[in-house]
Amino acid sequence: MKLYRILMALYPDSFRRQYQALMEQVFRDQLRDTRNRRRLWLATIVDLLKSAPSLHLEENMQTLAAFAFAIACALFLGRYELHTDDTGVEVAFVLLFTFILGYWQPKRSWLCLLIGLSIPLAEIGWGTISPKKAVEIGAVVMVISIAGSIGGVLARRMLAPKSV
Amino acid sequence: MTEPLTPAVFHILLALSGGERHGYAIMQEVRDSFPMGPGTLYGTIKRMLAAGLVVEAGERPDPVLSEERRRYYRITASGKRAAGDEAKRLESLVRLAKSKSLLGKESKV
Repeated sequence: MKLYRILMALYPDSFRRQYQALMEQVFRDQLRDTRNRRRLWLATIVDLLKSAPSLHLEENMQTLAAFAFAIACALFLGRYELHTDDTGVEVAFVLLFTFILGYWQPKRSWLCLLIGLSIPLAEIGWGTISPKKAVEIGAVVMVISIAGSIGGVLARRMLAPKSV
Repeated sequence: MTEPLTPAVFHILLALSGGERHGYAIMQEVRDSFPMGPGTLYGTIKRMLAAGLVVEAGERPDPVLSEERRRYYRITASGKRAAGDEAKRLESLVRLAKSKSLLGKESKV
């Protein structure tokens, strides 16, 4: 059992946090019921070598997709900032993008900060405001971004299928 | 028609079609047709939960196994639909295989 626990380190952290106890329980059941422990160990190691890489890949793909989305939103907002003075529309975009991020990827909702940063950084980049003013705007946009992503996370929790 | 399912997903859905099951009960139910280890089982369940094919159905001890509490899973309406579609897909494949005489004359499916 100790060895199995050590081998579990090959799985992604988030997966282990959710399923390690359940997997250990199942493996204990298997150990209790098997007539051939050596064969069970072999099958378990093969299963681990098959399942761990795909779970890592999945995990990384999710992170990559969240980053790509946040960067695309940040670039859009940065570009949009150049063409508009309509603060209401900008706020709506920030709220919409960060809400989507929070709903879609709650564990990576911190990437909302990247989206929020895009507006003050664009303002500085385009030379439309001073860095001091950008910090003030940045603080406000960050609050809006965090609110949007928290809204997304909460909406997901409310709409996700409930366990009984 | 829903997307084709992987064998692991289809087997887990089949096991859960008979009622709520915990992980080890699922493994035991499908072990003859699709033996899988804990990594494949819970990796697949994780994906199925995200896809809304199954839901967690609470934790309680198994009346037969031990006093230990176990997490149970239940198939959802969309899980049943996906399993039904997959069964129809497999049925049509079997018909095709029969028409090509791949199952032999004495095979009855």
